[in-house]
Amino acid sequence: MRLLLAVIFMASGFLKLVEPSANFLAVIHSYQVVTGFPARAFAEAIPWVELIAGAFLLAGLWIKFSTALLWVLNSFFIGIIAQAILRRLPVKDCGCFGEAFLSFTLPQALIFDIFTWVLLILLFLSRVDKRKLRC
Amino acid sequence: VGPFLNPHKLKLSVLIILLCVLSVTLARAFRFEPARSFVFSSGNPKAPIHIVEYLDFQCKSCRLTHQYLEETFKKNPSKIYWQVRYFPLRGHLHSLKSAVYAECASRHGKFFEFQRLLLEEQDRWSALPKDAIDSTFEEYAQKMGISTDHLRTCVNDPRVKEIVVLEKQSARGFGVKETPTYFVNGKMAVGLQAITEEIEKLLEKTGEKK
Repeated sequence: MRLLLAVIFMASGFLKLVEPSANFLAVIHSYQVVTGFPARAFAEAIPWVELIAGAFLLAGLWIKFSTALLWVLNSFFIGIIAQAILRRLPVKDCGCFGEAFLSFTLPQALIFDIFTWVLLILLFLSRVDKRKLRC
Repeated sequence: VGPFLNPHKLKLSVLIILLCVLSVTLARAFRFEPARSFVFSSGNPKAPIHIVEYLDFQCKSCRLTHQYLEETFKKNPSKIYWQVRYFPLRGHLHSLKSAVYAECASRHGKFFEFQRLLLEEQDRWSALPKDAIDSTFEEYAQKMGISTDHLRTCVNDPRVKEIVVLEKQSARGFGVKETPTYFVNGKMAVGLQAITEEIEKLLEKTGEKK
């Protein structure tokens, strides 16, 4: 489960990063939630967070912290996608994996994000349980 | 020593971050080709704001963003140098053909007029079936005094289509994937929101009208 999540987030971050950040910025704009500096900051930061936290998961470092960080990010994605569906925004591609590697419609992206959100919770809880057992 | 101060763990974390940065830097270096010279341009080449526009004549966002740029250009003609390039999208039925006709119009010095007409009449010709599109574009070209015979020869020339396709491929090489995409002084901006923010920021710097 940890490796699966690591691969998902590393791929998601890496594929966004090899493209110009303007493409991901356009995706953020298409959700019509943030503009200006916050949107630019998100476009620059989110892919790096995904890639580095995913790499930490893969290496088995800072697992609880990385899982919690990705869970917060994933919760944010779920909220953004859900509001876009409710507002019927014309977002063709969720922009989850950068350029056309895996192209999801909004409902597909929502299901996928809920799936990873649950996996992140399970991974986090499994780490908590292990610590409790040690005590 | 607490888990946060474990030197081995910290070293490994720094190494992982460096590896991430290195892999992205290498991937970007191989992914993007350098930009080449541009063909269709208007304005002052020495202007402080250089805009390269990648558009699809059948895309509605392109029309809206182009209108915004035209207005801004009219207000600040000495401050903007504007270049146009083709990026016909696959999902639009007449995108490629409209770009081919625009390329042929350019050979008669009518690129900008043809482009303007294409964007103004976009709703009309976008709704047409495939077999009715040539006659409509020929009608537009006739309005500009372009001979239909010359136009047909040009449109049927496979090299013309190749120019458009190569331009799109080249744009993909430096990260363009949708329209409208702009390079404003080399910085990429996609869509109306991004281009508006970028231009307004630069116009503020140069002290010109928005």
